[in-house]
Amino acid sequence: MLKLFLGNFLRLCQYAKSNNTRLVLINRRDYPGSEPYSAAELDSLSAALSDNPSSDSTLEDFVRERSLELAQCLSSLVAESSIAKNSILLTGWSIGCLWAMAFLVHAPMYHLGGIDLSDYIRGVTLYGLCSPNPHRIFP
Amino acid sequence: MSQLKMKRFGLLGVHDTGAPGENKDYLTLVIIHGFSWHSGVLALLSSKYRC
Repeated sequence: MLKLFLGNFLRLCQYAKSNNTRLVLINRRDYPGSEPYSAAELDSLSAALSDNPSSDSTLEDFVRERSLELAQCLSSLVAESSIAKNSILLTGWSIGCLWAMAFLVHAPMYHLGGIDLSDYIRGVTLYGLCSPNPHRIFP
Repeated sequence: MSQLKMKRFGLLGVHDTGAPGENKDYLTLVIIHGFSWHSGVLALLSSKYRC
């Protein structure tokens, strides 16, 4: 499985330049190079997974926070790089699709640093969407 | 083992291959990884393929 995964990204990397593509690989929170979740954030996630009646709104808040940090990341990318308008294809893979969908739901409300990301996003791809219960996160 | 060069944009770490050339007319493919696997596993390949 490791070899299969490496093979997938190997193809992307070696063909990026010849296909006039800039490849940007984001590590989600708690992965190398990204900020670990705080104890409060992990408590919030645990509460969201409980049977408490308020857990749905807690989960929505958690998802909204993830969409905000993704929007902040993309806004910084646009601000610091020579990225043209209408040129970004945002792709979620497997459970990463939940982050892409959260972005679709909430990002139109964000104008971070004067940047309207809707000017830059050409499209969103959900590749191999995998979620046991997406309607609970996006009711 | 070499490490992928990571930038920090906000709270998230990012590996960016950079613009493919001088021309600004290019596609930027942003990928959010799935469960467990992340861009760090590419470290073994980064020195060979300069990506």
